[in-house]
Amino acid sequence: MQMLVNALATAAILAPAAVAFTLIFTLFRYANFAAGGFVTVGAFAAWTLNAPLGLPLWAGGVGAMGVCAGAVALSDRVVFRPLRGRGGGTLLLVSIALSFVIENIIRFGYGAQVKGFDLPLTGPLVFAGLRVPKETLAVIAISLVATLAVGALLAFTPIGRAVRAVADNPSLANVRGLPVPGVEAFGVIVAGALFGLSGTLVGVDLAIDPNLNWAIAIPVIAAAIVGGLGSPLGAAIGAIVIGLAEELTAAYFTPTYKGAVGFVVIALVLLLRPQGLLGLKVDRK
Amino acid sequence: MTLLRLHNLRAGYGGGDIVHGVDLEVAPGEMVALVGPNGAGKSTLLKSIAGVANVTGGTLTLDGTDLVPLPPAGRAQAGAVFMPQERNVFRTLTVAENLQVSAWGRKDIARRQEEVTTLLPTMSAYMHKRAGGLSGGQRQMVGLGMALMARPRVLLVDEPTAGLSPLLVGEMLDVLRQLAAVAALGILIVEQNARAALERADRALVLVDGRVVRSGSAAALAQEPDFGALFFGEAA
Amino acid sequence: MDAYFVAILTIAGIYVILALALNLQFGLTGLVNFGVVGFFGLGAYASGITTESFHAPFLGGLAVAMATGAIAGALLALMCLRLSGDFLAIVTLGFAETIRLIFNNEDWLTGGPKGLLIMTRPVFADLGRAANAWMVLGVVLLGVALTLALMLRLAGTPYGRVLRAIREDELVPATLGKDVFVYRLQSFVIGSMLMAGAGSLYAHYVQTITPDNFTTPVAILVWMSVIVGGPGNTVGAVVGALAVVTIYEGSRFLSPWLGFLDAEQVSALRFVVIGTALILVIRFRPEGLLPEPRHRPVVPATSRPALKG
Repeated sequence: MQMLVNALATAAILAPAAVAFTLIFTLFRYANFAAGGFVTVGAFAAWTLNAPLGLPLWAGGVGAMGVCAGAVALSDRVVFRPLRGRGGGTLLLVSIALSFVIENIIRFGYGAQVKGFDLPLTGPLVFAGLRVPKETLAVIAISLVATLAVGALLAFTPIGRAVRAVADNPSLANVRGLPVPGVEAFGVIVAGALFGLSGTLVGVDLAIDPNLNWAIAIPVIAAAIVGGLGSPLGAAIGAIVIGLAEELTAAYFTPTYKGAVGFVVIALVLLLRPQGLLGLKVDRK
Repeated sequence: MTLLRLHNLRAGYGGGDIVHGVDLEVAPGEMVALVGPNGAGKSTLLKSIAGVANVTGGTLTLDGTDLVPLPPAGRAQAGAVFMPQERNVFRTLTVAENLQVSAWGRKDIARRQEEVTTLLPTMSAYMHKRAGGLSGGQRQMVGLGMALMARPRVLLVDEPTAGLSPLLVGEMLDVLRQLAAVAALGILIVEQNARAALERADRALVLVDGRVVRSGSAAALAQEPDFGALFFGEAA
Repeated sequence: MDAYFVAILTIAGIYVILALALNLQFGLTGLVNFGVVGFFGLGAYASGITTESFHAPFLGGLAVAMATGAIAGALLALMCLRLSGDFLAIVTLGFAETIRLIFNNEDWLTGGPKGLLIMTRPVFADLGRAANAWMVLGVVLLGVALTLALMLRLAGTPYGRVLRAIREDELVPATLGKDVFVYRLQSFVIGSMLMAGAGSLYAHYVQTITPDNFTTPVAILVWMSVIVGGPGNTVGAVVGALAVVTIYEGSRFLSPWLGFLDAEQVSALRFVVIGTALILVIRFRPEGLLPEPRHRPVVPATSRPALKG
């Protein structure tokens, strides 16, 4: 039971970023490995607003979502848009280089010391012999609401429909009179805000330092792949799978290899079910 | 009254012209067929009107409005609406969503959807299925419905029967013929099945190597003894 | 200065081998391997463990390293070479991270974070520090020469042309009756084997390896070498690696002018510059300094030659 709570907490951190990764993948057809970098930006933005500037963490989180939305939109305009039309491998390589740049800009600005949020101490909630820190509950609740909200936005609203249409076939969307660049920009900003949210949530649970980058990138991408790289719902379910796998590894094997879980899960998915748990089969192009 | 008017229109994709000066007019309620051999530039001509290929010379107006400076979306707004040949539906969206998203930014989406469903009643049977799971004929119908959501004045249809069985070819063309009459639409259609198109169109133009080699009433063209030769491009 | 020069050349030689190996995988065959540092580290540890725990000579360590690299490469390739290129990138990246976790956590085997001390050196007799350094350099340069000879031969043969054709469009070689998968597999395995070999040379050169020696910056430098040199151009990979290592090592001399920054910041700044430069080169000069010679019209040159997934 305790394990399930921990798994959900991990999933809650990964889910927004995995949804964001999937959103960018469906819109632009490349794997943006800078996902970890953006989450790290979110964590540091939230920390800056929270600890040195003394704002409450919710305000830090909102600020982090804004900062990340800006950072992702900027990177899209400056780095990725000029390269559209080049192969997926090129964009992937560029996104890794970008992640590396982001990580080191943060290291340059903040140093390598580990940071933590300034949170009031609260006792855990205890029920049925289960001790759950209130922060963990908040992390799970906020992530759940945010992921459902984005899912509903995409499924039921006109702009969500437009995002799915552009992701499906941008040239047809253009012919049918959709403002494709605007819709893409909207998708990018939503993705950025989700990265920022993940960054804030990860900071509640883990230490905030520049090395978060790769530590978070692999499980996030693993969750997106498990989810089939097509639907936000899939990415959220993927996050739960990764969370469970990490907790099972920690409980029955050794916690030191939690970091390898993402890789192993990706490997298993590729071996057993290349199309992911949900979603389309991704064949070699 | 003329709706769409092309005068000495030249067009291509940036690497030399493919269409070399075409004159063409379409009136409301009129169905005009573009026929000719493969590679004659029929689709390029159609796409240049829609803004998907480049106009490199000549004039292109819709009801007196110059279309050339407008982007594809602007031309659709002005009333020149294009239905691409393939990949003309969003496969991951439902049919209803396909229609709704095609009237982006309009206030009366529900009304338009109703209108389109009335014009193409067969569509209601699969309104809530994903477009990717439909048959070829159904998909073409959805593609047509999406174009109609923009309330076109001139519909530019690129080979709507590609890949359809002979039975469905006639059906699709009949639907278009009726649309022209019922909605007072001008229709400019590129069609591989020349005979079937000439049977339904009012007028037709035969395009060979980017030039109009013959034009006139569709019925008269169909009667011409050298029609086959023209169609296959041997008499140019 | 002399010692420093020898040290830089030795490191540069190791990077040249890594760049040549990656050029075979990515430049010639189009396989995106982000796990360069994983194979490099695997080779280093395999070699070090073989010579230290099993008292094998240097050549034994090198052989075990290369075999280990080849096996790891084959396993990864079998897993994802049939899928879209993105998956290979993700899996190799995950592989590199996982390998590093193993180095860090399996103290009994790898010495953990403290590192592995390697006494075995690729020298004939202990002739003092300077002479030893020259001898190690000689061994590394021999490795470079062998690798370069192999690559030049490969690139010029019909085999190399098939690899290029696979990179451009795998349908063409497939219609010629070539088993695309086997070619990709071979290219990936040979590249991984050479990377592990470079790891072995590195291990016996530095003599203490820690997990921190095998992190992302190494991979970025190797990628930079191949991209700057010109993907697909064997000589370009050599020139690229020399240029990148020279600039990277040379930028150390800038730190006195950056006195207002602490060491951490200087190192971060160097990485920012390198990463940014990599992005700029990909954007503005994707064919690199030495564009790949294109002498055969096997495939219509409609698509970008250099960087395709």
